[in-house]
Amino acid sequence: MQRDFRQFVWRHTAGAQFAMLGIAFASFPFLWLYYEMPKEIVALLGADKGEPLRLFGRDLPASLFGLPLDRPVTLGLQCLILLLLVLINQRFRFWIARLRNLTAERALRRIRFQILSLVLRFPLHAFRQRTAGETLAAMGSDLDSLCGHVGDAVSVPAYQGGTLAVILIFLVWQDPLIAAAAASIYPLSMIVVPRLQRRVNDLSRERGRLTRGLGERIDETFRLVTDIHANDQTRWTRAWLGAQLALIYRVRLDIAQRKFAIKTINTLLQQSGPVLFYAAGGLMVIEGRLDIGTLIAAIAAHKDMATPWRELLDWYQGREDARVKYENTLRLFNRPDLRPAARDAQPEEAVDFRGQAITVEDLVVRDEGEALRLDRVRLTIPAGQLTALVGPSGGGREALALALCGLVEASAGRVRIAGQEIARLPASLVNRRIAYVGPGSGLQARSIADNLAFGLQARPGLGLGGDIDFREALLSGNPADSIEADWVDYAAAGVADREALRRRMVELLSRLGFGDGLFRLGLQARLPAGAVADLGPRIVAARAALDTRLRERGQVDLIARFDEGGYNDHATMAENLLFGLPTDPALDADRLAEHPALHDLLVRCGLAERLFAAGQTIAAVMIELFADLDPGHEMVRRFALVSPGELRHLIALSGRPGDSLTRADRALLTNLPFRVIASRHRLNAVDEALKAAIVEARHRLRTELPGIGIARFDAASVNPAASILDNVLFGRIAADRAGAAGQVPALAADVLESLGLGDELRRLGLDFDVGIGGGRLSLGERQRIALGRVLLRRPDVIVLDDVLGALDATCRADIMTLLREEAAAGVTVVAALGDAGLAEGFDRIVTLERGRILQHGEGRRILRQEMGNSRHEPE
Amino acid sequence: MSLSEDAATLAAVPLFQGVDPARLKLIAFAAERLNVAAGTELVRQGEAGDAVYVVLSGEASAFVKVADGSELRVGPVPVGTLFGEVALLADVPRTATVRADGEMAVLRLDGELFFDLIQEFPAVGIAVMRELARRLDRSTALLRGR
Repeated sequence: MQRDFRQFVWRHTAGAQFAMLGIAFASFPFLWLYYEMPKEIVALLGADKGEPLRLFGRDLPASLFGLPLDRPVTLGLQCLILLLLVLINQRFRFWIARLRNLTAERALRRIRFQILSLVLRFPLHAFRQRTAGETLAAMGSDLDSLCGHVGDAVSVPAYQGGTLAVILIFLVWQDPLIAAAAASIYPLSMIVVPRLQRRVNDLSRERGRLTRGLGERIDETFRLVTDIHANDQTRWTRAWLGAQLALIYRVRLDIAQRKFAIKTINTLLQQSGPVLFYAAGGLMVIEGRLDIGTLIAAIAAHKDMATPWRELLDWYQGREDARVKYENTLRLFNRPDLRPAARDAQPEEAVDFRGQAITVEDLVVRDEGEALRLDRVRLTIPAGQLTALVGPSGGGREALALALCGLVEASAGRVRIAGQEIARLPASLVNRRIAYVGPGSGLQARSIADNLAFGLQARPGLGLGGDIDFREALLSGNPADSIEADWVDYAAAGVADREALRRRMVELLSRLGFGDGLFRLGLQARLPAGAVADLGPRIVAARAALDTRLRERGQVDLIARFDEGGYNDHATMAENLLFGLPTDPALDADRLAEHPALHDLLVRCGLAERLFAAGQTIAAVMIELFADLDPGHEMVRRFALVSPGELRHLIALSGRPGDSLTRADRALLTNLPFRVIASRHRLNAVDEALKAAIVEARHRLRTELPGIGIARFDAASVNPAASILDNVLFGRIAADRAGAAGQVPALAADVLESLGLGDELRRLGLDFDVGIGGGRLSLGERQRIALGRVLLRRPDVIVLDDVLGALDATCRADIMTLLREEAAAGVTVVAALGDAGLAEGFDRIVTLERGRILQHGEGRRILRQEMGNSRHEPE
Repeated sequence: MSLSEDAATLAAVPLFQGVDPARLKLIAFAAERLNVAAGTELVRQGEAGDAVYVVLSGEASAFVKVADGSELRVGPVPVGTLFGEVALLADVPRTATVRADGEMAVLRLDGELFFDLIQEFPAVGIAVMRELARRLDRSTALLRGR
């Protein structure tokens, strides 16, 4: 980033600024003519009859293109020219505004991207001091106004200053004395305003600092929200957030007041101008030294001076503001200890660390407080073996693990692999061959497959460019890499294409003990449109196979199949009416009666009233059942057919006559029966007659509203709106059969596996969106993905920092087997562990304490000693 | 079977005598009504317990595995019995296997619901205590009789 604001503007926007300057200068002659025209018109009106008509000091010919140039025609001509000049001036303004917005928005995009690029270059320890919220605050509205000013940097002083100059010269041309009177007010404000502005600048800096502080506090609140509630610190937190808001409030108010003071002084000076004009100019007209046309033109011109002057003043305030903000931003992000910038274009030299030992030579690492984390550590880590770094937290194992991957800067000493110093190799090479998983490793809010491919996206693939605007990206200093391109490096994973990669992913996750989990996720997934042709018929076949299997076992009644001609007691009434699942968002299963076309159909079928009556009965039962409980009670939440809020509302409505209900109340009651699952809720309100009427309405719905957005159940094809499990069942589990809820899904899974669909489903499971931070998966599943991600890219060195200890025992056993295989293939495996008990099965063990190596040797020997010393039982 | 009929069946269950009829209806509503085929194992000895059951109709038998691996029928589970509560209350694996003798209907109350009921409606809790005390008394009487 450039050192100061002026340099930034010059370096990145010089071209645009000159263009704006050119446009501004080109516009001035027209501006001059625009001020000249009123004088011409007044002169024409005041001219004597018979006198030759003149325009801009030239005599006009008697006729033009056969049109006699008499006074009315000339007046028309002059007004036409005036209108034309107005249009031309507007056009110039439009051009400048366009260029200005373009420049400003590009600058905003550039600065934001530069800040984010700088953040990516922060040394790791910087993230212990900076929070995302703070960065976000620094990139927010403050930058907006800064970049707006980038667009104005030259154009405003040029255009508005030029306008002011044109008007002044025009006035001098008319009468020097009037010009002097008009200009006399400006020197005064030029002295007063900058003084006030300086104070505003100081306050702006303060405001920036406080706003970032608020961002930091908000960030912390989000991060620690569980702790806040668990420790009952909400009241204190509210006060803590409020305190910062109070500080910001005071500073902002102060700034606004002072800015207003500046404007007031200016307006005052500006408005006292005409007084001078009327006094001095009027006197001169009375004395006959000035003709009235000139005075009118002068007053008009002076009035027009107000706008450019105000704009200039705003610009001045804006520039000061921008300068301060730029410096603030720079100070925050342009740290002296940034990591070297990545050079995307640099040619790739292939490095290969496979089978190479790592040597650590007198390595010293200090933390930001200058405390020693590693003290002259000397170590050789052999390739093709499992090495454990064991020691207490903060004893040096974490620092050593990070140093092996080049993720922490050494104060002295070095780490070498294959004769090359890791710290001197470009990070892009090192971190592609050396993989690190640490306690902070997490998942992105994308699919499982995307998360697994996270280590394979070093550079965009050729071909697919997406719709990125390369020229625009370059003009604002943004990357020309398209995020739409296929970034995955298939060769790095040792596969040929996407399909092979997905097979490899499933294989790897299955080995990590996540195969069943993937299968379950696949069962819950819907069939993607692209896979219907391929998988659709096989799922329909599985449906038949499940049916056969149930028949053989005499358990056909475990599933209540969908039957077009009958009511399904295990499905909701909404599903029974639609005989399918809604695909149109306007068709909400809980509010069917509010859908206009459907409502009309229900009325035609005579169902609207019956449903309303049933709804009233259901409401009465709900009130009776839950009357003694608080509507917010857990049991209401879990068991009632209505939400706590609805229950309160129904209690309030009960006892009111039907005709006093509002439309919304009636709709609520009419919609209630749609939620009922007959066999589950066992409510008298849904009787056989109502069920028959619903089946009848189902047929009419099909014939009378064929176009309504429903994915209907069809025995011969898959339903795109239903999960794969539901598609295989083609019905609902008969929940009133003992054991059905457990047996049926297991049987369905069994059938799918036997038809060879297991891996297909696991691959579909890969598309499951893991949620923010992987929140939709369990901790163990997240760890399995984080480990799978590393193994997938086949690195030469794998460093696991505090990972094994956090795993559950089965996963740890799975990963140890995998690591052993990797080691056999020449991969160097290093794991930092807090507990020596976890080091069981490692070839070598290094124990560290207070930044020094205590012991180093063959795993079993060290383990025996450690166990003996601490009498610590291995887990 | 409608909710009211289930509630009426519950009212006949000795365990729930003294519990307000409105409560019984809520219990019937929140619980799952299951139809059980003959021979179905409702709970299996050694498995973790997650629910309690009330027999609404039909009859089951309780079996305990003995040292040689064979099963010993320890007694009938007739209509109106609550079973499965020991594993929940004492947090131990199922102490016996319960198998349906013929077609039967049971009400399944999952663990959370069971504890909710005890907490929310003291009458249910007292009823459970009474049942447990009665069984203890029977066992003691049995021991004394030997």
